[in-house]
Amino acid sequence: MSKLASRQVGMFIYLGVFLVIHIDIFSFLALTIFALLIITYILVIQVVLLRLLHGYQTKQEQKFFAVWEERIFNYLEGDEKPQTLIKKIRRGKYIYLLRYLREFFLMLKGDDFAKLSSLINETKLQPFLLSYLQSGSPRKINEAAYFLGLAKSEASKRLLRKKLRSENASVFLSSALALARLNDIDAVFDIFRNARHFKFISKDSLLAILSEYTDDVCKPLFQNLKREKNVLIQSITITLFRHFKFYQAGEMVLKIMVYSPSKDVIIESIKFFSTIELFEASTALRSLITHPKAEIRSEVLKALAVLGDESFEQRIWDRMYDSEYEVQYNAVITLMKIIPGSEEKISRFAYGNLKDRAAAIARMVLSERNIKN
Amino acid sequence: MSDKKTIIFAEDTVHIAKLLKFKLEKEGFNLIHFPSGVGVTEGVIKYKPDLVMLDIMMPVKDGLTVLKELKSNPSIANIPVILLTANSHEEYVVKGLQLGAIDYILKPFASAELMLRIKNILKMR
Repeated sequence: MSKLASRQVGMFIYLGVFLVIHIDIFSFLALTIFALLIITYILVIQVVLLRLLHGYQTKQEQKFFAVWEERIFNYLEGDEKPQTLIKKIRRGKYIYLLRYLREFFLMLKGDDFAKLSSLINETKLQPFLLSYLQSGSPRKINEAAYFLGLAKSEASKRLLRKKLRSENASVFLSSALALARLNDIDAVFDIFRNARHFKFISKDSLLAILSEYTDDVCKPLFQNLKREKNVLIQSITITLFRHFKFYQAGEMVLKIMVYSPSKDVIIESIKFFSTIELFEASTALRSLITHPKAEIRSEVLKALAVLGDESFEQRIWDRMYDSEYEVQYNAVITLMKIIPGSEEKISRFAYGNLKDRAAAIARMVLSERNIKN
Repeated sequence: MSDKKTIIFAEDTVHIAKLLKFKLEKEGFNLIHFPSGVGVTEGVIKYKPDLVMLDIMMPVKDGLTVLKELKSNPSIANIPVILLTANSHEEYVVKGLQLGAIDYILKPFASAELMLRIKNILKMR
């Protein structure tokens, strides 16, 4: 607790003790109720003011949309220059225009997108957003980063990279997302480095950002993976390789997986081999099918269903007696997918051993299959 | 009765719907917009449009549910349906085509391409 806060708590305790000693209990209660009423009154006024402000802003926004909507449509449709359109709009209304364009940026591509981008990149909107980016307000920075990233504004790269060093998590995330949309490959390692300062930024949020890059990001990540020791970065990198189907990394990821103690890295590697159908990975999967961690055993079975190595037949049958339900389930599915004629064999097993747990799971898979068909 | 071809468009992203309405009306079409899947089937029965465009991801009632309703009603089952869906939900496209949709458009899309597809489908009818 800060010094100021502890001093305030001390003052309240002193005041409380003073009141208890010097006034009777009824006056004390009356005073407490009065104080609570004042606090409630202030809160109600604050809520009303905020609602009024929000209502006013929404009205202004609607008014702007009503006036400008058709002009924006005409701009997207015709040959009007972006500068001509923006010249007609007051600077104070720029933010309404940007909010209006948000959906278009996300939903349109081709010529429409090029026109939208030039509205930001070739007009006064760009210096406006850059000034927002340089402001001290996280809200303004986030808003600017969002639009500059969407519009792929090259002029904003330098400032966005600086913002990656921000101690504010939302500023870091919005800047990283903008740089990814700008496909700024050089920034990818800064994103990794600076993400470590924020404990609550998850692997999934980093992946969501990094997958906004194009597949050009794979080559530098591939070079980095050779010497990368951090398992989180290894795992994110392999997931990105899977996302971009970066086949060249197959052999290297196989080497990393074989020696990795990390469950996450092993699982991501197996999924990657399955996606790129790397049949050479079968040998490595042989030892992992009995791995102590059930999630890994399950993932191996799912990968085998794609890679289809029939020499695994007995090992997969063995997994039908696994201690984990998910592994047993995937074993039945995989057998039916990769071993010709296995459905009949499984059916005999399923209905010939009514008290067996593995047979019960096999019956369930067969019923699911029948329903689907 | 006017010769204008009528299109029913269910899409929850209002500005996009307005932009398409603007473009299609300029091309001589009549567009009726629904902000969700609710009421679309009734609208199709009432207006008997030449084409229906359905966004798959919509609140309350999604596009695939509407598509099922349209195709199970013999009086409107032959009206062509185009599906619109985000890139990340491509798996729904197969389901939509199985249910009887004639075409699909992935978002983000180029409005010029969408217009061409609409015109082609209407020409083929």
